[in-house]
Amino acid sequence: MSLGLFTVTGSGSGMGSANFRPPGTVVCPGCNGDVAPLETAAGWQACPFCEKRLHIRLWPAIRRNTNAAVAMAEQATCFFHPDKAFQACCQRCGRFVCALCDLQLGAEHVCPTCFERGRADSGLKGSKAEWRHRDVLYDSISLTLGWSWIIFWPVIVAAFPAAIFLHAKYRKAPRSYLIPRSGWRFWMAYVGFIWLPILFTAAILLPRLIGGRP
Amino acid sequence: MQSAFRKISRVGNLAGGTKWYLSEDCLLAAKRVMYTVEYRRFYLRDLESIVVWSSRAWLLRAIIPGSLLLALAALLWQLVNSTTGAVFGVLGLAWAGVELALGPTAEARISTTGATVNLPLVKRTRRARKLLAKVDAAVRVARGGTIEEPAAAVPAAQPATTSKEMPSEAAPAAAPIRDLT
Repeated sequence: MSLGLFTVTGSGSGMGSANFRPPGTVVCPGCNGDVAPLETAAGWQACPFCEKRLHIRLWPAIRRNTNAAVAMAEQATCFFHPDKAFQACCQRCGRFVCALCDLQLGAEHVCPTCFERGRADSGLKGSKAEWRHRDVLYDSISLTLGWSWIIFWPVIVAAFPAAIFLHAKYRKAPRSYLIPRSGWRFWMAYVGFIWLPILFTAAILLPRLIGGRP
Repeated sequence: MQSAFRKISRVGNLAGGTKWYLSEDCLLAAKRVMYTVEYRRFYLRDLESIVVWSSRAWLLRAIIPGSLLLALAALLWQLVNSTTGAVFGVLGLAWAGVELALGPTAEARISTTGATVNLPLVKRTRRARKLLAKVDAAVRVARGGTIEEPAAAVPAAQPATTSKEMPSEAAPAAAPIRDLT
């Protein structure tokens, strides 16, 4: 299940001009005009077309290797350049590509065709699985169970065993998340279950203790 | 337990939001919705640009809740008592004042070699400069000596050419390739 959390503008509507914009410019989010970054004291500049205030950081893409080896007689060759030696396999379509055509997208090697298809698909659906990783926050679920029963107390009958189950089953999960978390939420869930009985007990016992009655 | 990621920004509230982390080789967005976190990496070597701009709706954040609280204050002043009305009135003014003092909320667009994504990188525009400086420093470290001038031309025969590097009148590098397939 994909939550569709990230809005990818890609090269679809509104970004059409981005594919052919002049070098050293970015697309203005307000008017889609080409804006060249300026060095200003505050870092902000106005779009020359729509006057929208922008803060732009631009980095050049790393220049690719243009020294693709020429293929030997019985050597595997590039699908697009039959005279160039095989360098890598496209991880989307499996074609052999040379150093010229080997495009690295993060940890993925793709050929120019798949790269362009990905841009046109506005969202690079083919690479979503690799780019995204999802963690379920069992410790936060447990914490919610531990404290939310107060809103509707009969739920405690199911919430308490559920919190114990989650703790037992996923006790190591927080440390395995991409951004590791400590397991304190599991323990705070128990505090949520026991604080009210402790409070009641204290409320009953304290006056007796202070009053000196047994 | 030690994470390679360093938190640089947080945009959102208790129910959800996006946290940004920086590591040696990537910028990581961790978007939380209820009890799930979805991650997205932006490799520093693929990063082309980040544009931050102020959101159009930021004034509404100050005006709407502030006005509602002031209206409620006026109502309570009439119907209940002046103290209750004053409390809500102060709350409304404080809300609007704090929102205006914090400044405009921000939106951001991150462009990499493969995609352009709209994601909130900072909550307020006033933090943009500092945060982008951090990202810039990380990009420079990650790329080492390979960083070039943004306007550097790339050989036309190079299929890896990104849109930014192509002259506007030039044909897309992938076009002849597409014809072959």
